[in-house]
Amino acid sequence: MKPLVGLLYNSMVPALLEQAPALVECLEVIPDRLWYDLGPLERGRRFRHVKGAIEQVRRWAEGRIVIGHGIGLSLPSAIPLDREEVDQIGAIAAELEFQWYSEHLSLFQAPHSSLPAGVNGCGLPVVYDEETFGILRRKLATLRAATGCELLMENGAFFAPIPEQPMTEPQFLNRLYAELGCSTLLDLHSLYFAWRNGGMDPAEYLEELNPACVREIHLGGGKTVAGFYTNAHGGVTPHAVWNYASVIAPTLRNLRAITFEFDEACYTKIGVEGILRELERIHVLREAVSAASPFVNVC
Amino acid sequence: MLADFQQAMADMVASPQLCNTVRRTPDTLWRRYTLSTLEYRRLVEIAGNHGMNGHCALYRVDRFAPLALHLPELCRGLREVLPTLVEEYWTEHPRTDVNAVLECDRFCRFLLAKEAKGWAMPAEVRTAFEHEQGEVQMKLALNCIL
Repeated sequence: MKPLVGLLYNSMVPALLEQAPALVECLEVIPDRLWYDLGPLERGRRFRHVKGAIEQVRRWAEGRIVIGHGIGLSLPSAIPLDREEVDQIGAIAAELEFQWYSEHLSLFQAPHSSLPAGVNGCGLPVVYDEETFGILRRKLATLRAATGCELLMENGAFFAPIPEQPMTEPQFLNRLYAELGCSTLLDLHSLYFAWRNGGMDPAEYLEELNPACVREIHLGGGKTVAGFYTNAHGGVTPHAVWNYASVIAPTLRNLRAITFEFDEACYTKIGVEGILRELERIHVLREAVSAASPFVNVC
Repeated sequence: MLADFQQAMADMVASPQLCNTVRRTPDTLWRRYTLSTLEYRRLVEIAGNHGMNGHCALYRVDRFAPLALHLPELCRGLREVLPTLVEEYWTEHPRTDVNAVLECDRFCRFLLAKEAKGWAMPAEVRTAFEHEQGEVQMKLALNCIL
């Protein structure tokens, strides 16, 4: 099966789709962006839909597959799952007919505080041990029941990795797949970013990761913020990341989508042409995946 | 325990001062959190990692961005008192809001609450505050939130 060419939905995407509707087959939607969350104390009126947002997504999703991408649940956190938010995600998943739903294998919430979790946001690393696995086992079961979707966990992008880990991240993702049926969203820029900050070598990482795990790939660029290279999607996919994609993608037999992410605030900087070129390259890549060719020239 | 370990990481990202304190005096961690020896060792190494400087910077940029975007004149007007104010705001509201408009509404309410307790908003900022707070409230009202 050919993987779909996807684009992370944001306010600039409709303008792109008007110019090149055939380039995008799949829209990845962040449900948290479709509502205002007034907090758990606002009983009965906690979640208020952003006016017209769901209708707009539905309009642009016509003839396309829709997938959900969450940023708010912080599943590996040692805190209870926010059941009201899970129910809200479930309602949106049903309304927009999500084909699958992904969340991050990183922390955006601690018991008494949280980190900004937008497109620029960088989560905290996770301890890859039995305790975290147990937390995820329980929460993923609840989320799966609420969404009715297959679930994916996305590899993290970290500034400072946790030392003395009992498992590597790919080993942990392999276990999530083997024991819980939770697939992987492989963000290749996060892999690159983590490696630049002392994380695992991408080649070793991809060698360790079970290729059957991967359902979706994320591509995108970074951005320098306050003098530091970040995982913020403020540019086109770096050359090194395309190289990983060319090597790994054709080996992923369960790959269903390759999605480009960009930060809407950087729309002008990347430019329409830049984004369309990225999507065209993803089309070339997916043709190679569908032909299962080990040699891809997308550079 | 894992919850404290995660809280310690989040606290260090939100506070470069705490991160520096842990670098200088690692035993600070024992006083503030309930940790295993392994968790303690991990946190000490994380605090000393150069990447933490980047994460601390990004945290501040990401928390400040909604205010700069939706309350630009207010931010410009507050000038040198702004860093102290946002630090105080972040300490009082350690939970971020993914929705920028809600985050700005909360910041405006924080300033009003400070005024009620005796803080004097600079007179030249008042007009910008009222105008931009009005716009934020209009956006929320359009979504039937107010």
